[in-house]
Amino acid sequence: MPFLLYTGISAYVPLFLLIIAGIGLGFLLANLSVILGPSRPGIKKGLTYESGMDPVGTGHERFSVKFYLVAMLFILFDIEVVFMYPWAVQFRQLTQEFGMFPFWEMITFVLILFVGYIYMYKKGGLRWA
Amino acid sequence: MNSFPFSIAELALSSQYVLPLLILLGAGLLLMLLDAFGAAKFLPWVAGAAFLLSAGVAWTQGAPAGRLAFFGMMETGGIAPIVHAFLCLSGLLTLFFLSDYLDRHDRHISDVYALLVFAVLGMSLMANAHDLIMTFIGLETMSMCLYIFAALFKTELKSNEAGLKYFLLGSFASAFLLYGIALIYGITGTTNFSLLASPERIEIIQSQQTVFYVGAGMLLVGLLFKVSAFPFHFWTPDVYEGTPTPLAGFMATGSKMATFVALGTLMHQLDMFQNTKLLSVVGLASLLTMIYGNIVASRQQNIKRMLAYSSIAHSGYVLLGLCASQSGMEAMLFYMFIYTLMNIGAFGMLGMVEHDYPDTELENWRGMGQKAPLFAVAFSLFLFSLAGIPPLAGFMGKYEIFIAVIREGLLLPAIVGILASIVGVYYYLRVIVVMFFSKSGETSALLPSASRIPLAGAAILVVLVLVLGIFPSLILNPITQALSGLSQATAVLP
Repeated sequence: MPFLLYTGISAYVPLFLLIIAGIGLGFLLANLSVILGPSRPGIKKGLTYESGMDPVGTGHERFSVKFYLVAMLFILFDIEVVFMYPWAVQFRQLTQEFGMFPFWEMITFVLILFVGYIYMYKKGGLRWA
Repeated sequence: MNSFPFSIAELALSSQYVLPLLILLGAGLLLMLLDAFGAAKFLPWVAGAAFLLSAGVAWTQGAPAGRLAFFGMMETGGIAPIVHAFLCLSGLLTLFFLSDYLDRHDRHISDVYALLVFAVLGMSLMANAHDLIMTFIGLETMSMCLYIFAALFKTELKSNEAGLKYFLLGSFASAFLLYGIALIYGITGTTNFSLLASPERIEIIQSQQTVFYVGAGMLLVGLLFKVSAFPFHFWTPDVYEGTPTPLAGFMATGSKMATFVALGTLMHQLDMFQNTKLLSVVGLASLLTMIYGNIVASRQQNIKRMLAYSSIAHSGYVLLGLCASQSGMEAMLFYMFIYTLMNIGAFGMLGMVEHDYPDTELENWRGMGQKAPLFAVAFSLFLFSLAGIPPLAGFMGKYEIFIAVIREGLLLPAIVGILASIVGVYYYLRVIVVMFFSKSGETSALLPSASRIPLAGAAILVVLVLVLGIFPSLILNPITQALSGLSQATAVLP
C-alpha cells in the first residue's frame, strides 16, 4: 500500500516546520512594528479598545446567562449549516449515484436538530425577561 | 486505503444492526418533545419502556463477534448486545429511585429523563466502538449528560461545586484522550481497531515506539480518569457528593462499565497482554487504586463519601481483572454487572432517606435498624454484597476477578487485592453496626421514603443480588458465550 509511505511521524515534519515558521513570522512582524513604527502615546491611545465606546466600569461585570444561550444556539445552527453546505454543493452528483438517499439523510439530521429547537422554544429559551 | 467501501446496502444493513441504539435515540427525542409539551408525568415510564425495549432487542439480536456496522465504526456482534443490555439495565434501575428522589427534594426537573436515555446511548456507543473516533464521540455524549447530572440542583452550592469540578477535570481528561488518539493516528494513519491490529500497522508502531507509547499513555490517562483510577481519582468523592444520589449511583456504574469495556476492547486490539509495558501501567494503577480507595474510605464519616471512595476501590478490582487477558474480560463484565445491581441499590436506598445533605452523615443513621428494620436489612444486604461476603452476588464477582488474575499467574497483585478488600469489609460493616447496634435510646430522626416505586426497585435488586450470588451462571453463561467469539488480536506488539 503506497499510503503507508506517508505514515509515521516523519510525514508531519513539513507541518512542524509550518508551525515554527508561523510562530516566527508572528513574533517578527509584531516586534518589527514596535521597532520601526513611531511611538507617540496619549491618553486616548492608552485606553482599552471597546470598539470606539468609552470604557465604563470594570471588566469583570456579571451578565445574563441568556448570552451563553444565544451563543450556544448560534453554534448549533452554525454547525448545521456547515454540514449542509458541502451536501448542497454535491447534491446533484450524490442523487445521481445514490438516488433519494442523501436527501432523506439530511432530512433526518435536520429533524433531530429541529426537535432540539422545539424543546428550546417550548422551554422558554428564547423568552427574554 | 479504503477497507470499508461505501454502499447503500451496507448502510441499510448497519441501520438494522444498531436498532437498539436507534430505539434509544428515538426515545430520547420523544422524551424531549413530551417534556416540552408538558407531559412530564409519563416521562419515567416512557424512558423505562425504552430501556426495556432496547435491551430486549439487543439481547435477542446476539451475533458473532466482528459484525461491524457503519464501515467498521461500530461493533454490533460479540459482547456488544450484552453490554448494551447491561447499560440499559443500569439506566432502568436508576429510574426506580430517581423520580421519587426528585419529588421529595421538590425539584421537578423533567429534563433528566431524556438526558438519562442519551447518557446510556453515549455509553453504548463508547463501549461498542470499533474506531477511536467513535470511542471519543461516545465518551463525550456520555460525559455531557453526566456533567449536567452533577450540576442538576443548580441553586445548591455542593451541586455547583460538583458540576464545575467534573466539567473542568473531565474536559481536561477528554483532551488527553483526544491527543492520544491524534498521536496514534499520526503514526499509523488510521483510527480503526481492525486496521490498527493489521501487520503493516504493527510494523509501523514498532518503528515509532516513542510516539506510540506517548499516544497510548494519553489514551490510558483519558480512560483511567473516567473510571477514577488512582492518580486521576480526585474528582470522585466531591462529584458524587454533590450529584443527586440515584444519579451518583448511575455515574458510578453505567459510565464505569462502558469505560471498562472500551478499555478492555482497546487492550485486546492493541494486544497489550503481550506488551508488558502498558499492561504494567494498568496493573500498577489498579493496585494503587485498590489500596488508596479502601484505606481512605475507612476514614469517611459520611455514607455518600464512603460509597464514593468505595467505588474507587471497586474500580481497582476491575482494573486488576482487566490485566488478566480474555478470562479477565469475562470477569470484568460479570463484576460490573453485579456491581451495577448492588451499587445502584446502595446509592438508591441512601437517596430514599436523604431529604437534606447532612442526612447522609453516618452519625444520623444511629438506630435505623430499630426504626425501619426492613429498610435497614435491605441496605445492609447491599453493603454485605459490596464487601464481598458469600452467598451474595458481590462475593461471586470478586471470586471471578481474583480467580482470573491468579490463573494468569499474577499471584502477588491478587494477594494485595484480597488484603485491600478485607480493609473494605471494615467500613461497610461499620455502617451496619451504627444502624443496628447503637446504644438504646438513640434513634435516627430519619425515615426512609414510603413511596412504592423505589421500594419495588430495592426489592427487585435484593432478589437479584441474592439469586445471582447462588446462581451466578445465569449471567456468567451468556457472557462467556458472547465472549467466545472475541477475536484474538492478530499480531504481537513490541
